[in-house]
Amino acid sequence: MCIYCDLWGDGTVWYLNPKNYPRHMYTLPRPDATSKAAAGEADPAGFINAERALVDAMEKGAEEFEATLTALRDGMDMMQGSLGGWMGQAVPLRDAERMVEIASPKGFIACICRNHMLGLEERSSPQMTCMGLGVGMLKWERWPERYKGGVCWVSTEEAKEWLRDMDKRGFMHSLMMFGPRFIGGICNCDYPVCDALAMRIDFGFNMLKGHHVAMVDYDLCNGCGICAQRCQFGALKMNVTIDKANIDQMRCFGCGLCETACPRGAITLVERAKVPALQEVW
Amino acid sequence: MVDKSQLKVPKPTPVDLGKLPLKFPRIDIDYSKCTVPFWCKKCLQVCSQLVFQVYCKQFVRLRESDPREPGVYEVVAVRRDKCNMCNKCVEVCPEDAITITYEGVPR
Repeated sequence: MCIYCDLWGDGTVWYLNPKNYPRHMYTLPRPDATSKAAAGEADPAGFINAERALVDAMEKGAEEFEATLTALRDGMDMMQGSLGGWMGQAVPLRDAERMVEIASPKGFIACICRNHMLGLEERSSPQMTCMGLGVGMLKWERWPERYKGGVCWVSTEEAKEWLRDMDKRGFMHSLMMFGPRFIGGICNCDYPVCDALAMRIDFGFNMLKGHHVAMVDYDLCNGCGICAQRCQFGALKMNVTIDKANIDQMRCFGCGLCETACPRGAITLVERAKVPALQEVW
Repeated sequence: MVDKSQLKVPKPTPVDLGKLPLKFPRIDIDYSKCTVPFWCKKCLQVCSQLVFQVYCKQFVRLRESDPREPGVYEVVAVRRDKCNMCNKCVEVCPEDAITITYEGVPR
Protein backbone atom coordinates (compact mmCIF):
# COMPACT_ATOMS: atom_id res chain seq x y z
CA MET A 1 0.00 0.00 0.00
CA CYS A 2 1.51 3.28 -1.06
CA ILE A 3 1.23 6.55 0.83
CA TYR A 4 -1.91 7.56 -1.06
CA CYS A 5 -3.54 4.22 -0.19
CA ASP A 6 -2.81 4.92 3.46
CA LEU A 7 -4.36 8.36 3.16
CA TRP A 8 -7.21 7.94 0.72
CA GLY A 9 -7.51 4.22 -0.02
CA ASP A 10 -10.19 3.40 2.58
CA GLY A 11 -8.78 -0.12 2.73
CA THR A 12 -8.34 -0.58 -0.99
CA VAL A 13 -5.92 0.60 -3.67
CA TRP A 14 -6.45 4.36 -3.74
CA TYR A 15 -7.00 4.67 -7.47
CA LEU A 16 -9.72 2.00 -7.36
CA ASN A 17 -11.60 3.95 -4.69
CA PRO A 18 -14.40 5.93 -6.40
CA LYS A 19 -14.08 8.66 -3.77
CA ASN A 20 -10.82 9.74 -5.39
CA TYR A 21 -12.37 10.73 -8.69
CA PRO A 22 -13.71 14.22 -9.13
CA ARG A 23 -17.43 14.57 -9.55
CA HIS A 24 -17.77 17.99 -8.01
CA MET A 25 -17.38 20.94 -10.29
CA TYR A 26 -16.44 24.60 -10.28
CA THR A 27 -14.89 25.24 -6.95
CA LEU A 28 -14.04 28.90 -6.63
CA PRO A 29 -10.41 30.01 -6.57
CA ARG A 30 -9.07 29.94 -3.05
CA PRO A 31 -9.11 33.48 -1.60
CA ASP A 32 -5.87 32.83 0.28
CA ALA A 33 -4.09 31.63 -2.86
CA THR A 34 -0.64 33.12 -3.05
CA SER A 35 0.37 31.78 -6.45
CA LYS A 36 -1.34 32.14 -9.79
CA ALA A 37 -1.56 28.37 -10.07
CA ALA A 38 -3.36 27.94 -6.77
CA ALA A 39 -5.84 30.59 -7.87
CA GLY A 40 -6.67 28.46 -10.90
CA GLU A 41 -4.53 30.39 -13.33
CA ALA A 42 -1.87 28.34 -15.03
CA ASP A 43 1.61 29.71 -15.47
CA PRO A 44 2.65 28.52 -18.93
CA ALA A 45 6.35 28.63 -18.14
CA GLY A 46 6.03 27.32 -14.59
CA PHE A 47 7.29 23.78 -14.88
CA ILE A 48 9.77 24.53 -17.65
CA ASN A 49 11.42 27.20 -15.50
CA ALA A 50 11.46 24.85 -12.52
CA GLU A 51 13.19 22.17 -14.57
CA ARG A 52 15.71 24.68 -15.85
CA ALA A 53 16.41 25.81 -12.30
CA LEU A 54 17.04 22.19 -11.35
CA VAL A 55 19.63 21.77 -14.10
CA ASP A 56 21.21 25.12 -13.23
CA ALA A 57 21.42 24.07 -9.58
CA MET A 58 23.34 20.93 -10.54
CA GLU A 59 26.07 23.23 -11.80
CA LYS A 60 26.23 25.00 -8.44
CA GLY A 61 26.52 22.01 -6.16
CA ALA A 62 24.77 19.34 -4.14
CA GLU A 63 23.27 21.67 -1.53
CA GLU A 64 21.84 24.01 -4.14
CA PHE A 65 20.43 21.05 -6.05
CA GLU A 66 18.72 19.58 -3.01
CA ALA A 67 17.24 22.94 -2.06
CA THR A 68 15.91 23.51 -5.59
CA LEU A 69 14.48 20.01 -5.72
CA THR A 70 12.72 20.50 -2.39
CA ALA A 71 11.31 23.84 -3.54
CA LEU A 72 10.03 22.24 -6.74
CA ARG A 73 8.40 19.36 -4.87
CA ASP A 74 6.80 21.75 -2.38
CA GLY A 75 5.51 23.85 -5.28
CA MET A 76 3.97 20.78 -6.87
CA ASP A 77 2.32 19.87 -3.57
CA MET A 78 0.77 23.32 -3.35
CA MET A 79 -0.43 23.25 -6.94
CA GLN A 80 -1.51 19.66 -7.29
CA GLY A 81 -2.19 18.59 -3.74
CA SER A 82 0.39 15.85 -4.04
CA LEU A 83 2.79 14.84 -1.29
CA GLY A 84 6.51 15.27 -1.79
CA GLY A 85 5.93 15.98 -5.48
CA TRP A 86 4.63 12.46 -6.14
CA MET A 87 1.83 13.34 -8.52
CA GLY A 88 1.71 10.26 -10.70
CA GLN A 89 1.82 6.51 -10.40
CA ALA A 90 2.43 3.66 -12.80
CA VAL A 91 -0.66 1.51 -13.36
CA PRO A 92 -0.84 -1.78 -15.26
CA LEU A 93 -3.34 -2.16 -18.09
CA ARG A 94 -5.79 -4.18 -16.01
CA ASP A 95 -5.99 -1.47 -13.34
CA ALA A 96 -6.25 1.26 -15.98
CA GLU A 97 -9.25 -0.57 -17.41
CA ARG A 98 -10.85 -0.65 -13.98
CA MET A 99 -10.12 3.05 -13.56
CA VAL A 100 -12.06 4.01 -16.68
CA GLU A 101 -14.98 1.96 -15.36
CA ILE A 102 -15.03 4.18 -12.27
CA ALA A 103 -14.28 7.58 -13.79
CA SER A 104 -16.86 9.66 -15.57
CA PRO A 105 -16.82 11.58 -17.82
CA LYS A 106 -13.69 10.65 -19.75
CA GLY A 107 -12.23 11.78 -23.02
CA PHE A 108 -9.18 11.65 -25.24
CA ILE A 109 -7.01 14.74 -25.13
CA ALA A 110 -3.66 15.74 -26.60
CA CYS A 111 -0.53 14.83 -24.64
CA ILE A 112 1.10 17.98 -23.29
CA CYS A 113 4.53 16.34 -22.96
CA ARG A 114 4.66 15.35 -26.62
CA ASN A 115 3.52 18.87 -27.43
CA HIS A 116 6.36 20.38 -25.41
CA MET A 117 9.10 17.90 -26.21
CA LEU A 118 8.55 17.26 -29.89
CA GLY A 119 6.19 20.03 -30.93
CA LEU A 120 3.55 17.42 -31.78
CA GLU A 121 -0.01 18.54 -32.25
CA GLU A 122 -2.49 15.74 -31.64
CA ARG A 123 -5.44 17.47 -33.19
CA SER A 124 -7.81 14.58 -33.87
CA SER A 125 -8.95 11.72 -31.66
CA PRO A 126 -6.97 8.93 -33.44
CA GLN A 127 -3.76 10.82 -32.70
CA MET A 128 -4.52 11.63 -29.08
CA THR A 129 -2.39 9.78 -26.53
CA CYS A 130 -3.73 11.14 -23.26
CA MET A 131 -7.01 10.55 -21.46
CA GLY A 132 -8.62 13.00 -19.12
CA LEU A 133 -10.78 11.65 -16.32
CA GLY A 134 -13.51 13.55 -14.58
CA VAL A 135 -15.02 16.98 -14.74
CA GLY A 136 -11.75 18.92 -14.71
CA MET A 137 -11.66 18.92 -18.49
CA LEU A 138 -14.88 20.90 -18.63
CA LYS A 139 -12.81 23.90 -17.61
CA TRP A 140 -11.00 23.65 -20.92
CA GLU A 141 -11.77 27.23 -21.89
CA ARG A 142 -9.31 28.47 -19.32
CA TRP A 143 -6.47 26.71 -21.11
CA PRO A 144 -7.41 26.04 -24.77
CA GLU A 145 -3.71 25.78 -25.45
CA ARG A 146 -3.61 22.70 -23.20
CA TYR A 147 -6.64 21.14 -24.90
CA LYS A 148 -5.59 21.81 -28.48
CA GLY A 149 -7.83 19.81 -30.74
CA GLY A 150 -10.52 19.67 -28.06
CA VAL A 151 -11.74 16.81 -25.93
CA CYS A 152 -13.19 13.67 -27.53
CA TRP A 153 -15.66 12.21 -25.01
CA VAL A 154 -15.75 8.42 -25.05
CA SER A 155 -17.64 5.51 -23.54
CA THR A 156 -16.07 3.03 -21.13
CA GLU A 157 -15.75 0.40 -23.86
CA GLU A 158 -14.07 2.85 -26.25
CA ALA A 159 -11.69 3.93 -23.50
CA LYS A 160 -10.74 0.32 -22.74
CA GLU A 161 -10.15 -0.52 -26.38
CA TRP A 162 -7.99 2.57 -26.72
CA LEU A 163 -5.99 1.62 -23.62
CA ARG A 164 -5.35 -1.85 -25.03
CA ASP A 165 -4.26 -0.27 -28.28
CA MET A 166 -1.85 2.03 -26.45
CA ASP A 167 -0.52 -0.98 -24.61
CA LYS A 168 0.10 -2.78 -27.90
CA ARG A 169 2.02 0.23 -29.17
CA GLY A 170 4.29 -0.03 -26.16
CA PHE A 171 3.30 2.90 -23.94
CA MET A 172 3.24 2.41 -20.19
CA HIS A 173 0.19 3.77 -18.41
CA SER A 174 0.31 6.14 -15.51
CA LEU A 175 -2.23 8.12 -13.57
CA MET A 176 -1.85 11.80 -12.88
CA MET A 177 -3.42 13.66 -10.02
CA PHE A 178 -4.51 17.27 -10.17
CA GLY A 179 -5.46 18.30 -6.69
CA PRO A 180 -5.74 16.10 -3.61
CA ARG A 181 -7.98 13.08 -4.11
CA PHE A 182 -8.36 14.14 -7.71
CA ILE A 183 -7.25 11.56 -10.26
CA GLY A 184 -7.45 13.58 -13.45
CA GLY A 185 -6.00 11.46 -16.19
CA ILE A 186 -4.36 8.36 -17.54
CA CYS A 187 -1.21 9.08 -19.51
CA ASN A 188 0.53 6.78 -21.93
CA CYS A 189 4.20 7.40 -21.41
CA ASP A 190 7.58 6.54 -22.82
CA TYR A 191 11.04 7.71 -21.82
CA PRO A 192 12.31 10.35 -22.50
CA VAL A 193 9.34 11.99 -24.22
CA CYS A 194 7.18 11.90 -21.10
CA ASP A 195 8.34 14.70 -18.83
CA ALA A 196 7.01 13.07 -15.68
CA LEU A 197 8.84 9.85 -16.45
CA ALA A 198 12.03 11.73 -17.35
CA MET A 199 11.83 13.54 -14.00
CA ARG A 200 11.45 10.22 -12.21
CA ILE A 201 14.23 8.42 -14.01
CA ASP A 202 16.70 11.33 -14.13
CA PHE A 203 15.90 13.19 -10.89
CA GLY A 204 14.05 10.58 -8.83
CA PHE A 205 10.69 12.21 -8.13
CA ASN A 206 7.24 12.78 -9.66
CA MET A 207 6.01 9.27 -10.56
CA LEU A 208 5.52 6.54 -7.99
CA LYS A 209 6.09 2.94 -8.91
CA GLY A 210 2.99 0.83 -9.26
CA HIS A 211 1.46 -1.66 -6.87
CA HIS A 212 2.92 -4.64 -8.71
CA VAL A 213 6.24 -6.07 -9.84
CA ALA A 214 6.76 -8.36 -12.80
CA MET A 215 8.18 -11.86 -12.37
CA VAL A 216 9.34 -14.34 -14.99
CA ASP A 217 8.46 -18.03 -14.87
CA TYR A 218 11.60 -19.63 -16.27
CA ASP A 219 9.75 -22.84 -17.10
CA LEU A 220 7.44 -21.00 -19.48
CA CYS A 221 9.85 -18.42 -20.94
CA ASN A 222 11.35 -19.54 -24.23
CA GLY A 223 13.56 -16.49 -24.74
CA CYS A 224 11.68 -14.99 -27.69
CA GLY A 225 12.71 -11.50 -26.55
CA ILE A 226 9.45 -9.72 -27.36
CA CYS A 227 9.19 -8.32 -23.82
CA ALA A 228 12.74 -6.96 -23.92
CA GLN A 229 11.78 -4.30 -26.46
CA ARG A 230 9.07 -2.87 -24.24
CA CYS A 231 10.57 -2.04 -20.85
CA GLN A 232 10.85 1.74 -20.40
CA PHE A 233 12.88 1.46 -17.22
CA GLY A 234 15.83 -0.70 -18.20
CA ALA A 235 14.56 -3.32 -15.77
CA LEU A 236 14.00 -6.13 -18.23
CA LYS A 237 16.85 -7.56 -20.25
CA MET A 238 17.59 -10.88 -21.82
CA ASN A 239 19.77 -13.08 -19.69
CA VAL A 240 22.12 -14.20 -22.43
CA THR A 241 23.55 -17.11 -20.48
CA ILE A 242 20.26 -18.93 -20.02
CA ASP A 243 18.52 -17.22 -22.97
CA LYS A 244 15.51 -16.12 -20.94
CA ALA A 245 14.07 -12.81 -19.83
CA ASN A 246 15.52 -11.35 -16.65
CA ILE A 247 13.79 -8.67 -14.60
CA ASP A 248 15.58 -6.45 -12.10
CA GLN A 249 12.70 -6.04 -9.69
CA MET A 250 14.36 -3.19 -7.85
CA ARG A 251 14.02 -1.19 -11.06
CA CYS A 252 10.63 -2.60 -12.10
CA PHE A 253 7.75 -0.09 -12.02
CA GLY A 254 5.07 -2.74 -12.38
CA CYS A 255 3.61 -1.17 -15.52
CA GLY A 256 2.91 -4.62 -16.95
CA LEU A 257 4.06 -3.89 -20.51
CA CYS A 258 6.12 -7.09 -20.51
CA GLU A 259 3.23 -9.10 -19.09
CA THR A 260 0.77 -8.03 -21.79
CA ALA A 261 3.33 -8.68 -24.54
CA CYS A 262 4.38 -12.18 -23.50
CA PRO A 263 2.82 -14.68 -25.93
CA ARG A 264 3.38 -17.59 -23.52
CA GLY A 265 2.10 -16.02 -20.33
CA ALA A 266 5.49 -16.46 -18.72
CA ILE A 267 5.47 -13.06 -17.01
CA THR A 268 3.07 -12.35 -14.17
CA LEU A 269 2.46 -9.29 -12.06
CA VAL A 270 2.90 -9.96 -8.35
CA GLU A 271 1.65 -7.56 -5.72
CA ARG A 272 4.44 -5.42 -4.40
CA ALA A 273 3.12 -5.87 -0.86
CA LYS A 274 3.81 -9.61 -1.09
CA VAL A 275 7.50 -9.17 -1.86
CA PRO A 276 9.09 -8.27 1.49
CA ALA A 277 12.07 -6.25 0.27
CA LEU A 278 10.03 -4.32 -2.28
CA GLN A 279 7.11 -3.29 -0.07
CA GLU A 280 8.50 0.17 0.55
CA VAL A 281 10.27 0.62 -2.77
CA TRP A 282 8.18 3.30 -4.45
CA MET B 1 -3.48 20.40 4.61
CA VAL B 2 -1.81 17.13 5.59
CA ASP B 3 1.08 17.22 8.00
CA LYS B 4 3.85 15.78 5.90
CA SER B 5 6.14 15.08 8.84
CA GLN B 6 3.67 12.49 10.16
CA LEU B 7 3.69 10.52 6.91
CA LYS B 8 6.17 8.19 5.31
CA VAL B 9 6.49 10.18 2.11
CA PRO B 10 8.90 8.37 -0.24
CA LYS B 11 12.18 10.21 -0.59
CA PRO B 12 13.37 11.08 -4.06
CA THR B 13 16.22 8.93 -5.31
CA PRO B 14 18.18 11.77 -6.78
CA VAL B 15 21.17 12.11 -8.98
CA ASP B 16 24.52 11.18 -7.49
CA LEU B 17 25.03 14.17 -5.21
CA GLY B 18 28.67 13.30 -4.69
CA LYS B 19 29.34 14.15 -8.32
CA LEU B 20 27.94 17.65 -8.05
CA PRO B 21 28.69 20.31 -9.10
CA LEU B 22 28.84 19.36 -12.76
CA LYS B 23 29.47 21.56 -15.77
CA PHE B 24 26.96 21.42 -18.58
CA PRO B 25 27.06 22.96 -22.05
CA ARG B 26 25.54 26.40 -22.31
CA ILE B 27 22.91 26.64 -25.01
CA ASP B 28 21.95 30.15 -26.08
CA ILE B 29 18.99 30.82 -28.31
CA ASP B 30 18.69 34.15 -30.05
CA TYR B 31 15.00 34.94 -29.78
CA SER B 32 15.23 37.78 -32.25
CA LYS B 33 15.98 35.13 -34.86
CA CYS B 34 13.94 32.22 -33.51
CA THR B 35 10.38 33.52 -33.65
CA VAL B 36 8.15 30.62 -34.72
CA PRO B 37 9.65 27.56 -32.99
CA PHE B 38 6.43 25.56 -32.83
CA TRP B 39 6.02 25.92 -36.58
CA CYS B 40 9.67 25.10 -37.32
CA LYS B 41 10.50 22.62 -34.51
CA LYS B 42 13.57 21.34 -36.36
CA CYS B 43 15.76 21.42 -33.25
CA LEU B 44 13.16 19.45 -31.29
CA GLN B 45 13.01 16.74 -33.90
CA VAL B 46 16.75 16.40 -34.45
CA CYS B 47 17.83 16.17 -30.81
CA SER B 48 18.20 12.59 -29.63
CA GLN B 49 18.61 13.74 -26.03
CA LEU B 50 15.40 15.81 -26.04
CA VAL B 51 17.18 18.82 -24.59
CA PHE B 52 14.69 21.34 -25.96
CA GLN B 53 11.13 22.09 -25.01
CA VAL B 54 8.72 24.43 -26.75
CA TYR B 55 5.89 26.12 -24.94
CA CYS B 56 3.28 28.81 -25.47
CA LYS B 57 4.21 31.96 -23.58
CA GLN B 58 0.64 32.84 -22.71
CA PHE B 59 -2.66 31.12 -22.22
CA VAL B 60 -5.54 33.08 -23.66
CA ARG B 61 -9.05 32.24 -22.58
CA LEU B 62 -11.20 30.64 -25.27
CA ARG B 63 -8.49 30.89 -27.90
CA GLU B 64 -5.81 28.57 -29.22
CA SER B 65 -2.54 30.17 -30.20
CA ASP B 66 -1.34 30.24 -33.78
CA PRO B 67 2.04 28.49 -34.22
CA ARG B 68 2.79 30.75 -37.20
CA GLU B 69 2.38 33.97 -35.26
CA PRO B 70 5.85 35.28 -34.35
CA GLY B 71 6.76 35.49 -30.67
CA VAL B 72 3.89 33.40 -29.31
CA TYR B 73 5.92 30.26 -28.68
CA GLU B 74 9.38 29.95 -27.23
CA VAL B 75 11.86 27.12 -27.43
CA VAL B 76 13.99 26.56 -24.33
CA ALA B 77 17.03 24.36 -23.77
CA VAL B 78 15.70 22.79 -20.58
CA ARG B 79 17.75 19.63 -20.19
CA ARG B 80 21.24 20.98 -20.83
CA ASP B 81 22.53 18.22 -18.57
CA LYS B 82 21.74 15.69 -21.28
CA CYS B 83 23.32 17.64 -24.15
CA ASN B 84 26.19 15.77 -25.79
CA MET B 85 27.22 18.70 -27.99
CA CYS B 86 26.67 16.82 -31.23
CA ASN B 87 25.78 20.24 -32.68
CA LYS B 88 22.99 18.84 -34.85
CA CYS B 89 20.59 21.54 -33.64
CA VAL B 90 23.08 24.24 -34.56
CA GLU B 91 23.41 22.80 -38.05
CA VAL B 92 19.69 22.27 -38.62
CA CYS B 93 18.52 25.68 -37.36
CA PRO B 94 17.40 27.67 -40.42
CA GLU B 95 17.88 30.96 -38.59
CA ASP B 96 21.28 30.17 -37.01
CA ALA B 97 19.78 31.08 -33.67
CA ILE B 98 21.44 28.39 -31.52
CA THR B 99 24.94 28.54 -30.09
CA ILE B 100 26.48 25.95 -27.79
CA THR B 101 29.44 26.82 -25.62
CA TYR B 102 31.21 24.67 -23.09
CA GLU B 103 33.79 25.61 -20.54
CA GLY B 104 35.28 22.99 -18.33
CA VAL B 105 36.48 19.44 -18.38
CA PRO B 106 34.23 16.96 -20.21
CA ARG B 107 32.78 14.27 -17.97
